[in-house]
Amino acid sequence: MRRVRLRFACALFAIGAVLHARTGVPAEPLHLPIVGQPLTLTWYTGLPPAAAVSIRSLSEQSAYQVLAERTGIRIAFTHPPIGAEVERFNLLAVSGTYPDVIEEDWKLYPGGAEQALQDRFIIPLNDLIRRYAPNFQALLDANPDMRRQISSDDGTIYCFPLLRLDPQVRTIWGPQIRADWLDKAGLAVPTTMAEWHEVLTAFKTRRVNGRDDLIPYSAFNDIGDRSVPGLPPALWPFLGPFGLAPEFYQINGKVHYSPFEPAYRAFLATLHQWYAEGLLDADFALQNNKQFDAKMLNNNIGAYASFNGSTLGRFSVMSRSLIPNFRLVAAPFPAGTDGSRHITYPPAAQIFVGRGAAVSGQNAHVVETIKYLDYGYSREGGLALSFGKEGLSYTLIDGKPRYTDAVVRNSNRSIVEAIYQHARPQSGPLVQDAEYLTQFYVLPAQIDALKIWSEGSTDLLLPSLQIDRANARKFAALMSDINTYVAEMTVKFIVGRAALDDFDGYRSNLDRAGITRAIELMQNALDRYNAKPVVTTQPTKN
Amino acid sequence: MTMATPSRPDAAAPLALRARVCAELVRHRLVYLMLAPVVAYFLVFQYAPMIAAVIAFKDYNPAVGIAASPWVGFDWFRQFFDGLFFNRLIWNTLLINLYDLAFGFPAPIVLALLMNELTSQRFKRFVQTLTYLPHFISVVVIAGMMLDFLVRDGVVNDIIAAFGGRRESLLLNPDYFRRIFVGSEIWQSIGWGSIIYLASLAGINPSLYEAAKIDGANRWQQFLHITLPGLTPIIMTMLILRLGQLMTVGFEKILLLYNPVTYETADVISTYVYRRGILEANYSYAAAVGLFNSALALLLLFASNRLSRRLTGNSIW
Amino acid sequence: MTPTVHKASTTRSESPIGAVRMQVAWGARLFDLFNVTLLSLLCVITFYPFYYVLICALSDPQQLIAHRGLLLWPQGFSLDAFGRVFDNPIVRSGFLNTLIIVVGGTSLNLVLTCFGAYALSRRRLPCETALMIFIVFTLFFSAGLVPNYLLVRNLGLLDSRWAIVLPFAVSAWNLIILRAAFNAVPKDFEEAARVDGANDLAILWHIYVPMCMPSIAVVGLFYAVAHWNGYFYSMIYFSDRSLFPIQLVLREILISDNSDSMMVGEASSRAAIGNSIKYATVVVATLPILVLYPFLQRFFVKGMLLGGVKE
Repeated sequence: MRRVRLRFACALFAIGAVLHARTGVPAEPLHLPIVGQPLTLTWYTGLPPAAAVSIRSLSEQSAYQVLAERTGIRIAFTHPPIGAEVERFNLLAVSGTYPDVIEEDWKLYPGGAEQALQDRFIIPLNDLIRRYAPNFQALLDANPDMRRQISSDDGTIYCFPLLRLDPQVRTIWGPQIRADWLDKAGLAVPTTMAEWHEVLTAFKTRRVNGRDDLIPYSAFNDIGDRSVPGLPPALWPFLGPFGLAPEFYQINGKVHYSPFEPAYRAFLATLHQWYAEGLLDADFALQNNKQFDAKMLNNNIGAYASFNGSTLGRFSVMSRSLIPNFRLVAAPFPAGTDGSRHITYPPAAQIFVGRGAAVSGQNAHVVETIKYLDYGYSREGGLALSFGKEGLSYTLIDGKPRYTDAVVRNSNRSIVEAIYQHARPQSGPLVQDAEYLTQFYVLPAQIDALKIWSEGSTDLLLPSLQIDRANARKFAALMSDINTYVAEMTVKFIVGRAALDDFDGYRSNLDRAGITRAIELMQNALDRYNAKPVVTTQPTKN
Repeated sequence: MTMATPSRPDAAAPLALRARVCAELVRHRLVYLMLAPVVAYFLVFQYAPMIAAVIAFKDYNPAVGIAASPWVGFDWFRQFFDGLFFNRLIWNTLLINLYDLAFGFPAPIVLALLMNELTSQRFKRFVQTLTYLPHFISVVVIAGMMLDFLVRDGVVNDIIAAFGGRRESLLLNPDYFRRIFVGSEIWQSIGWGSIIYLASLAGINPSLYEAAKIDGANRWQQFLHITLPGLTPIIMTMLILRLGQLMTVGFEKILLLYNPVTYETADVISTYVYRRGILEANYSYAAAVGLFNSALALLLLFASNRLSRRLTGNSIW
Repeated sequence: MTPTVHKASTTRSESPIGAVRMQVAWGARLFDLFNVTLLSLLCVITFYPFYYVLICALSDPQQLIAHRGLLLWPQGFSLDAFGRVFDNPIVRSGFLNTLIIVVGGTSLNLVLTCFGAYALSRRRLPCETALMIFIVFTLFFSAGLVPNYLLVRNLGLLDSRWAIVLPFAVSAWNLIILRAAFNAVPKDFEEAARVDGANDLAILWHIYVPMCMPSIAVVGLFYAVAHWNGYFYSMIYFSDRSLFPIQLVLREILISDNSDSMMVGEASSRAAIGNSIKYATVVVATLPILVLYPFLQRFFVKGMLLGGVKE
């Protein structure tokens, strides 16, 4: 009898093993705590400026203390000085000693994530996810597009990213305009280029703020930002009507580079005309956000394009006491003459923008690390990472998390600074929770903005792409000079320091600098992306 | 004054050489003891890393280390010389230096001369105290202040507007960058730089002035025939040393002040290399251009030293 | 040089020489007036930026942002910005770190530089010229960021204060200055001391150091200022925020203030203070040295006199 039972048990076991191997059912649901004895993992990432005003390290956040209690794993963070993230990340590779987890934008690694894998800087994660990360695996299974965006060309997943799955968290940027000025001019919110021109001209000619220093449309940049934009982001919405999108974009699977397109000339001509007519801020090319702030609060500016929170929300509140009747609303991305409306804010199409937590090649506790990271994608883990500690920084009301007054009504800290004492909803390895956003956005105009800015199609936008390893350095070298040249020339064309008749000369210079090759490389990247397998098992070669 | 050592034929035993060296070490043992840490410092922290500068001729990949990185010979140099911006970089580096030399170099001298003519000692001390101030401020602070002052609604524009001029964001106009940069350099160093000239002026023999006055020379003539020649040695020395800094001048400050709009006049070799080499982690490229830079600086130093020796008889060696 | 004072309106003159003297006096007066005016203007230009930053730091943030035109007085009064600066967890440690680095680093610098200057002065050693070339060469050639980083890493100095002290232990420039100062000391003193049986260390300590004290003070000041203002290498080598020197903290604050993105700002009126925090930080990071240096000023001129001039 026992023999039979034993054999039967063996058979069951064998069948179970076969089934397991075949279907890839996650073998281990997550059990807390993850480790029996306290474990400390080292983790490299940038310290958000909003956190730096209160804490020295992310490990001081309530979120990480909660996680430590639950999982038994403490994190020892290493942060580069703010402003030196790029230099320090690169030097990390030079140093030869890697922390257990490295969280950064993987496009920054010379050669991209593929090179990082090749160099054993980080390790591939597919198998590990399948075995030890049930929450993350479930997300992968439910969202094939996600898998394509976060893996390299051959399907290797290399990091645990910030996932912007909810469309609401992606449409957080767009054109904004002074509704009270529109009322004074008796006009409606503009939706096409022609309407924009009409509105901006009306602002200026009717002197709606009662002064001569009125700036119909303005823009600003980060001075500290060294990645050179071809154009100040606030001018991106106006690319759409010309069938263009910022920098690299696609039309039905074919890659284009907008500053190289003939249509760019028409775009530049329009902006040049606006500039000459005084509709565009004379300082548009370099103004930083402090100067922009000053102008906004001085009632100078009519419209611009930027983030929901840091501009629409902030100015609406800051101006309450300074400017009577101040009202800012979102405007949709303008449509072209053929009626097509393109959303020209690249991150709007990206579930993954390049940032993620990877496991380094020198990690001695790989399994525990994977489990810890996976926990961040579970409901409880996600709540902790996005909201902090229940009772302290948030409470659950009707099952929905709400920040406490200590966060939203803190007398010493702005909201985002207060949040960052407890949680990291904007950048951690987690699924970005729309709930945090709706509390971050307290004004009705902000909630409306989310809808208004999702009107239109993201068909021109590219997903987050990586150039293949063999050519990544070459691409970076080409684009370095090209970016600089484009940035300079764009500004010159708009302000009139260069004549648009020279546009062909400018194009041939770009050609000489190698733009065609760069476009080719980007096209290859897109092709590989589209051809990426949507399988759930690790590719056999490694 | 050198020690007289009897000349020996080289064929004579190395033993004798060693003996000589030992004797020397013993005789001046305390001096060598004092010298040791200094030499050690230069060996360890200046010369040893130079070996790693070999990455200028390799395609350095940190993951495999210096030794295992492949050789590329002069590829990086070639890439630099053939680059889209090479001419502009050289031109900008040269021009900014020229401006700085033409205006920034004489400024402390002029200040020293002017201060020397002051009759009120109290006022002179006051001016000194105040003009030395900016030298002590870090470049981060200075750049921060400048960024604030030069915007459209900043102080400088307020003043321009008060005089009826047109407001303009000054750091956005490439035409102004060199002036702004050199102006800020002058502002920062005019006081401190004048110290050494003031000291020199104080060292000129007063009896020369007396004699000149008796001969009927006026202030201007005294200046021309006594003061100026008295200052020449120190001026030439400072000039030569300044020329040695040609390739790296103002790197940190330019980095903090420039932006894509002003690259055409502001981008110099060192800032371009910082972007390409350090920010994009192409360290080999940075090393290659660094070598080019240093070689050029050395060349300029030799050339100017020789020129100075020929023209004025003053030189560093 | 006191010009003889004559009223310009005097029409009578006793003699041709008197006339010339009168003209000279008139011209001299004019020149002096011009001189004083020019230098006063220079003083104003030098001083105004500091004054401006100070009053901005002391102004009420909202009023400051709204202000137009030339700023001459504080707009309102508020110490909020300063409060926030000192709230920052690493400002206090920043000062402490900088103090440690300045005192410790400069001491090391001075000891080594004195040793080096002494050893390489007065043709004491036959290899002096060779060593000078060896040292001056480093003024022009430097290995670059990565080789230096690798060295520091290999020595295990990352995240240690030694990382920003040791690699800068001796400045060739300052060594040259001090050496010239030592060379300017009359030989008799040393010779007399040797006759009395003093060894090199004693000679250095009892003769050269006291006699060249002004130059040593100046060189010490050069080193101290460099340490005080340094931020770049701590930016490269330090991850431990409790080690950050004050200028690095300042830079972080200035950069954060400029940073765009959804990280910063939201619907809160406290955002106005961000601007003032920038100014307050500048004041806080710069005040100590501004306050200190007038006391050291008396050494400068004498030091340069004895040190750099006689070539």
